[in-house]
Amino acid sequence: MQTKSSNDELLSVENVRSVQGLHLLAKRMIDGISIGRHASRQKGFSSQFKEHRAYVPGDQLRALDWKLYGKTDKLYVRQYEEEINLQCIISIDCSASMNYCGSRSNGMSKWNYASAIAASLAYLVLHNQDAVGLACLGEHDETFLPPRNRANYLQEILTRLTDSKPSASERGIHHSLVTLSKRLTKRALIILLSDCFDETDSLLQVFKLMRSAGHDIIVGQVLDADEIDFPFRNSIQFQDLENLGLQQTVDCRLLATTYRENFEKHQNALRNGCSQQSIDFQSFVSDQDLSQTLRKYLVSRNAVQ
Amino acid sequence: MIFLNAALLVGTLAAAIPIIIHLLNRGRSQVVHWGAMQFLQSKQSDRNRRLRWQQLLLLALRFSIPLLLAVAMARPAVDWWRGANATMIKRTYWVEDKSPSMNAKFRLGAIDNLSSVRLGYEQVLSGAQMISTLDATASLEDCFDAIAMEVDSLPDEKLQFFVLTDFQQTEIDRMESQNRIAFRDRIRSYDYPPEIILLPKEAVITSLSEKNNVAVGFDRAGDDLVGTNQSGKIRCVVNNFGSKSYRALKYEITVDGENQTTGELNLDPMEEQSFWVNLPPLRPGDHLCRILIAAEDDLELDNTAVWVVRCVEPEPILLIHGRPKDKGAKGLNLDGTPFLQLALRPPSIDNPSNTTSVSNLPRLFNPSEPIESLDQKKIVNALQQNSKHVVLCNVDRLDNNVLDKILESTRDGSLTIFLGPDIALDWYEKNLFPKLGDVWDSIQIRDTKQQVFTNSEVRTTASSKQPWANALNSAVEQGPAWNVFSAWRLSVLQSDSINVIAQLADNLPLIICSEDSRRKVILMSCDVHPTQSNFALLPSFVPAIQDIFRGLIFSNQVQRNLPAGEPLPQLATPINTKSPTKWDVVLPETQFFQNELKELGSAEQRASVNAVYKAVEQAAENQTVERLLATQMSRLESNLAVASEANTQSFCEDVGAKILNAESELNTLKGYEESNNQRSEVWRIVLTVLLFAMFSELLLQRWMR
Repeated sequence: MQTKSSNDELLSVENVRSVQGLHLLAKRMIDGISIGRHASRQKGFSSQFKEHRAYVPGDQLRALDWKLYGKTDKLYVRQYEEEINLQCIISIDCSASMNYCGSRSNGMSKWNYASAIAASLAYLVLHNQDAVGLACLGEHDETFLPPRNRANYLQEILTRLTDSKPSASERGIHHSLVTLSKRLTKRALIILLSDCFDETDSLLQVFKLMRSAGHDIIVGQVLDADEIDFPFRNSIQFQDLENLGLQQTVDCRLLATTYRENFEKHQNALRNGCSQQSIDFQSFVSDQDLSQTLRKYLVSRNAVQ
Repeated sequence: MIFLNAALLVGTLAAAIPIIIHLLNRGRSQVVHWGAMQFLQSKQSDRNRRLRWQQLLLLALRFSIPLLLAVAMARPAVDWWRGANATMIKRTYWVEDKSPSMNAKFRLGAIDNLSSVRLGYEQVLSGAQMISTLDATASLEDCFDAIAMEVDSLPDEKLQFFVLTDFQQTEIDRMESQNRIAFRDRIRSYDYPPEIILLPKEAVITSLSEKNNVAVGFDRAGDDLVGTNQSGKIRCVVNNFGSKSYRALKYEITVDGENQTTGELNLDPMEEQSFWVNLPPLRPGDHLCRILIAAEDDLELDNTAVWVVRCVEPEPILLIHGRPKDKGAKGLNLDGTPFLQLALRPPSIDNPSNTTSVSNLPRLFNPSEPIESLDQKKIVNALQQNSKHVVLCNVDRLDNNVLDKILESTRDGSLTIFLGPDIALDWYEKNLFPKLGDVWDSIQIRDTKQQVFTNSEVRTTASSKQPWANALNSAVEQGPAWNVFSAWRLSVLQSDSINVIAQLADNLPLIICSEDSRRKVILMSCDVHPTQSNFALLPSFVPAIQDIFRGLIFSNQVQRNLPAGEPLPQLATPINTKSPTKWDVVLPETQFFQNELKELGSAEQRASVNAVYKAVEQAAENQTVERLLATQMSRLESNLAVASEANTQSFCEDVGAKILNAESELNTLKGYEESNNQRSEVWRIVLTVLLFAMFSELLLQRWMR
């Protein structure tokens, strides 16, 4: 019962409604098992005509465009774009830093927020008859559900999301991404839901490797509002979520400016790096309304496409 | 530093408030589990270091503010005078050195050294908690014995000792080495070494007798000799202050480089000893005199006293000698009157018993002229020539005008009047006594009824009912008696302790010296011998009369060789015809001597001594006296300041005792009011620091934001 209620919470009516009628379209063609609404780079048989090509011996004769032969007296073969099903991997950061829950987030931690996004997107993908999988990026929990397009697969994903809890991890998520990358044999759309509090260079390096492997990547950075504007004022003892032995007492009035500078620098590096690699980068703030934020993002993504 | 409101020092506990607040805040510090630690760690070490210093500084300021406030309210005061541990002292002991040297007097008529410093230290020690005077017996060593006994019997308290001593070097030197080491160890064994108060060194350098002209004394080291003089007859007073090392002394007098007198002295260690040194008749001017007094085995020039003898112009005495009209009346037999002989012709220095007849004195007018033919005109003429010192002997028929002129002429000198009973009555009838009362400040006479009359009463003798007139009448009616009136304006005796010179007879009036003014009025009434001697002098009267006329002795010595009948030389200083306002003229050497007396023992003594030394140097330069003397004088001066204390200093350093100087202590006492002001200064300083700390705290907080 608990699992079911948690699943309902993740896939709330509002979240599901927010993705109704929207289609998550891959920018790039993805190889898929089933023919769906997503264009593939592979040319094949489909109703979508793409181009003519001069006939070479060995081509199937049924592909000849006889009408064109009647007009031009030359042999051309008709080529079509092949539609395949989307293979989407929702990878969610399970490091302990995702546990942070600021005072303005109404009790919703980044993990909860990211889980809600993951559930929504999984529903969307499955609703579009595409395959969706789940990868938990953590040192102790490396759950991986391969992409499937079964209708009841959503329940399994949501269960795994509910069962997973962020845990302390001294390794960055880029290690987990590398592992994930090795598991994927086909090109897929990888949706990364993480706070990206990792070394920027390493992270971008992993992105580059994944991109070179043909994967499409969407980076959804989930942040808490406190992590953006650092609203603290007094002397506060910060205890590292990733490493509980590390604690640091600072005077926030003195450190706020520096923190913001460092954070901004990190964000810029991350944003620029993703932009250079044609990676869709989107920040989600946990105190914002999830459905609205998600709807806006998907609309903007469709518009770009 | 002491606190005038020490109870408020409890407020310093408020300084702990910032620390408590800090600790409380530290315990409730907010803990945040944070993921983005990487953004906090940039340059954190530098920031932490700076932050830590700022916090420490802020804590120090906040700590100091209540602390300073409490300290300021406790009224801190720095007691510069009594030292930092003044408040620690529970008992103060005052130890006196009663060795013979402490009995030396350094000022004529003054109290001894010990008493004077004791008086001074009563003020110093008035602020002490308790004073105990140990009655030590003879020596400083005994003083410390007494201290040791006292310490043993005392409870365990903080003690402070003041030892009043001159630390006479002979005391220490006498000790055998073993004893000295034991003595040193004993002082060191005290928990609180005594503060030895040295008497002012002037106190033991010079000792002056009451009637002396010259004072000669050893300093406490027994090395130096100082002295001064008044006139041609020098009385040396030698005091070795208990030093047994200097008993047999030789002395040698040199005037202007020529040896005059040599001799030997045997000193009693416990008594001062005086001897007279006669100078030859000297020409007017300054003369450099040197007296060398040395122990038998020590003839160094250190023991030389050098001074300047200033001989003045001879001042003649005008003797106006009358004779009663009535030859049957009892008159004055000049040659047969020892009193006048003493007064006018002192005993010869070489032969005191040889006196010169008054009749043989040089006379201003024709010696063959009978003395009774002296008329008023001649008196006036005589006054115009030399009139500073006048002696009237039984002069009757004296007009008021002539008496006026006599009084005017003698206002810078002296006037001595000898009147027989009949002549005194004549003076009384002519109302001449009131004039004396007008001129003189004070006249006192004690008749047989011991009545005392003042000059104001004398001035109003016009009425016979006045007590003065009654006394005169009574004196005349009672039979043979002389009334002697002597006016003398020098501070003849230079002593405050003598007012009765002699008592002529049990039932007769006394001679009274008025102390109200420098113008002395001496009224003497004597029995008159019916036939021969008019006076019956008691033996003690003779030196008193000599003292009275001492100022004239030297002049007579110079003048007596003048040929008879030759006019006396003119006075160097013309007679001042204006009304006298101050009868304070003294002979130059007397002035010098008195100045010397005034300066002795005071801080200005050095300047005065220097002036003498400069005069000595000048005289040496002018008269080509050996310059070595002048050099020795400067050496002497330095010895006064340094040499005599050197061994004492080393000794006190050796035993670890603290040396104080009585005079500087007294000066410090005088400046005690100033130290009170300094207390308030400390107040202000603390408050200023407090305000500065508050301002800095605000500034630092603003900066940290």
